[in-house]
Amino acid sequence: MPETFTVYGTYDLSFRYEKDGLDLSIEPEDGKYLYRRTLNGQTKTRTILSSGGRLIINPVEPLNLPKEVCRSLLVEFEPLSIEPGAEQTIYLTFPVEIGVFVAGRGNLELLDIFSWNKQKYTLYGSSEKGVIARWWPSTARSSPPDLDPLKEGLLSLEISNTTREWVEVSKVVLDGFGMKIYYGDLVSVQAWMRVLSTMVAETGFYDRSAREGQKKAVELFAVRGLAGVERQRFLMDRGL
Amino acid sequence: MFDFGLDDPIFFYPSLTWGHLVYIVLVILVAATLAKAVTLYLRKTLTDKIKLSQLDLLLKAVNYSVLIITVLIIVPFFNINLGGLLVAGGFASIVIGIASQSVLGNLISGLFLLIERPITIGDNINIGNVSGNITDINIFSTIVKTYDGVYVRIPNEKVFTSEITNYVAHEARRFEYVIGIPYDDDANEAIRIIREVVWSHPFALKDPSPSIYVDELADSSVNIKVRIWAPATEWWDVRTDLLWKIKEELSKNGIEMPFPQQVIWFQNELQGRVALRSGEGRPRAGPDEHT
Repeated sequence: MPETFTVYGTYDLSFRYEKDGLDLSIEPEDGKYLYRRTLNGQTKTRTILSSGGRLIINPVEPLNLPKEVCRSLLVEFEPLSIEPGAEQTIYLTFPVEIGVFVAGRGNLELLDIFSWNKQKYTLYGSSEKGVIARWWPSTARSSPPDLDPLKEGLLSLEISNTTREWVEVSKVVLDGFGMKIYYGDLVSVQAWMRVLSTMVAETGFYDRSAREGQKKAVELFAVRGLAGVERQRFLMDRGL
Repeated sequence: MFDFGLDDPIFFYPSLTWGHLVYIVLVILVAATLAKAVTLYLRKTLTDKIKLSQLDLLLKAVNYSVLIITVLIIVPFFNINLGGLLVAGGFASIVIGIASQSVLGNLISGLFLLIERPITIGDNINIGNVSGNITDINIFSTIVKTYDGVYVRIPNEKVFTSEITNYVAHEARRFEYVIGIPYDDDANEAIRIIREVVWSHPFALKDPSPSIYVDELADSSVNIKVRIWAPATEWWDVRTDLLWKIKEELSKNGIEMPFPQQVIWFQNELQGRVALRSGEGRPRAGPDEHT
């Protein structure tokens, strides 16, 4: 596959990218650095005081726009019936959000997050016991599709049906805090779903890339240093 | 000359020496400094990492722990028997409790509030006739900052016995609009437009899905009811954001909100005999036009 040029990578603090409606730049100005990003008519600027840091741009957990209200991602697809005891991998997509970090003296600071995708949220479960989740519709495929790495990522989902019954699955809810994103000419995550009954499943992520040569993305929730992020599994007990 | 030594007993409390007093003061100073330093450090490092309510609870726990440890270190210098103190404290608490029932009531209510947790710090609530955000829950009282920024202290007993409405206790909540359109316009088209506007808002939840339907054939308009679910933390922003967007989009598509109006039919025709007298601002009815 030919290598796709994307905005992802590590750059000096003098950089400009202009493509697909995105105008992103960081330039020295009066002894400071001015970061400016314009996408879809919206502009964000930040002034940075640094004595020579680096700019890191990579996909991040897609749970930040337009503002962070939840930590779960719900991917919905057409219903699939899975036979008892079966283990299958299906290929879904997930929305890409791009994080811009500035690195200096061994530490990272988040400058900006943007995305080409529209956001939509949903409720998984009931209003009193459920959880708010980022909603994303996807087609369930049996082989990986070609995707624009700036807009969609590949979600490989290993589903194992541990029950003795046929089970219908039409959604997967994942805890975004354990999301291990790899990027290059493809953005990908690998996840698993263990079906425990016709109504309950457990989900989580693997820490591995889909292809050779992919880099691991800086984890946004790790950069923020949020406490209690060690939980990386989600119990889907409100239906599959 | 005054003879003063650290081993000399204090004249008003002979069982205690000046050295003990210096030690006690040092312990109190160290404990106060330690409590302040630890709470400051925790506040600095955890403010953006855990919920404010949990942080406040943690800071209170740290402060009370330091206080209890300090008291336990100091008490032996006063030759106080802790067992006896507990018994005496038990009796004293009964006496004090009877003497100050409301204080005890507030204390117990505070404990029940902490166990039941109908409210937490930061929640939007309505308690009795007070509405606002909970800023603190203490042992005796609950502090509310009303939406116009006023400090209100409510005794816990009143909180516990009042009807509490917590607007953000659940993950999602619903709000609704009534949109009136003229009788001449197509209600189905209006519903389609409203549905598109609602769909375009990220926090108008996909599930539970919005409900949009003709609710009433009113005097001046066809009323369309719009019911939308939003994350409890965002519902007010969504509510204020969407209404005008719906109005604008309907206007863009030629559907204007009608003013209140009434069509009046006269049983007998006026036959053009209504005239205005010079200087009068209203029509004058003829003698046979009162039916």
